[in-house]
Amino acid sequence: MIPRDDIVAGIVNTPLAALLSELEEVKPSPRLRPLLDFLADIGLLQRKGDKYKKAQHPPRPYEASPLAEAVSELFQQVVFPYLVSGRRVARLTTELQRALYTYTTAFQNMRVVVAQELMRYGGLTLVAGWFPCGFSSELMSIAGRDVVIVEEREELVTLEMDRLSLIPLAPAPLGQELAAASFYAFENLPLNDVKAVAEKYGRFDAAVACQRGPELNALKEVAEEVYYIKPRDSVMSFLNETLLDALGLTHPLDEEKALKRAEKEEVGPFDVYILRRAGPA
Amino acid sequence: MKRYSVAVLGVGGVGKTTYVFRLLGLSLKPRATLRPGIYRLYLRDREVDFIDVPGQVATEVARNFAKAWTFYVDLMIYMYDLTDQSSLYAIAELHSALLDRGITPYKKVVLIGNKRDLAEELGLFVEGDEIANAVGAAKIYYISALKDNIEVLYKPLEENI
Repeated sequence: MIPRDDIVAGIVNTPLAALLSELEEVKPSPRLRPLLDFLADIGLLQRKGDKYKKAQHPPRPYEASPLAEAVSELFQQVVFPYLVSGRRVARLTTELQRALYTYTTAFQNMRVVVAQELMRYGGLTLVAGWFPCGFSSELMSIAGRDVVIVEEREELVTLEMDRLSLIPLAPAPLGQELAAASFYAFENLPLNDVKAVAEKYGRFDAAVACQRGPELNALKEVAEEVYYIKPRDSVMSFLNETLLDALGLTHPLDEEKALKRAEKEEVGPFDVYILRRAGPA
Repeated sequence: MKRYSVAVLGVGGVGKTTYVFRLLGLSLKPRATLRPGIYRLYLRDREVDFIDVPGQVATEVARNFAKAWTFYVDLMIYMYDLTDQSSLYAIAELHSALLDRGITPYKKVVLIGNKRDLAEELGLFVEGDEIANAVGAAKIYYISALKDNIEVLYKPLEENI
């Protein structure tokens, strides 16, 4: 369900990987350790005490897919500079916007399965952070949801807005009916302002957050149920988290505590936690 | 990278979403499609937005969608069920609903007859030539969205965009 080969190929095809493949052994400063641990996770290096050795059988570069090319671009322009110097991305170039948009394709099959297998039909649904998993149209077509997408950086959703403009827009939420148009809206706001979104649209039937969101307890206050999704794959999880940090995007701080009481479902290599609002006593 | 858009139109139960899911590499049995949806595919250096239209259960919805059509696609796929003649005739109806607006909202059109496996099993194979001519389809493909391998399912896209 995760196109891991494309993701690994994207990293392997970068100049940094080529440079490391020429070094026998590296002893990094503590700052670089997360980066080298990540490269060890994808099989480019081997850990040996506090040093890293060239892997004996590293993954080889091969013909790059569009997703692999997007991962290469993001690794070189966003992930690597952030891990090495803490540099955040202030402005998204057109190339970066496109790479981030393409990156969300890695989650498309998971989105389809979550919408189809776990969600009930109908209802107003909040997407608390469009990036990285890209939930949008599947929620409408498969689960019949009316969708409000909140994202913190407008340039991140430009291409998705363009894509969704291909389908007819319903003037108001539709509820559960079968319809020739969908209701969707975009809001450019910090995720910590979800209450303002609920004031505008009313209480949500569900909220979907994928490694994103304000505190999960805050999401529970605006939605009857919260679907919180996390990849179990360490490479994907690290890549997502680093991209979010480098782009200055919010992720929840109360994850561990809030998820203790959640239902958990497995969708391929993803954990889907479902938090439901307690019913009346 | 060049972007293309493709739409699949047909009435209820002909297998539109099953076809899209297979192209994505998913072998799930889909629920009824409730609203229009868009899926993204990459065909080598081409990015394809694949629009799936509700039609399941209610022919009326597909007809309304055709009337509300607001965009231009590079490829229109009309899909029918090879075991169900009425699903083929409905294509002509959907096609005139689209053209009633006075413009042709697609660059190219093809016809897909789906459920070939079932048609072969039942010995009931509704040929689509006449309707293909009527709607100006460049080609007819007879497929089994459920059982054919992915290369076969990609052909209508690869050969026409």
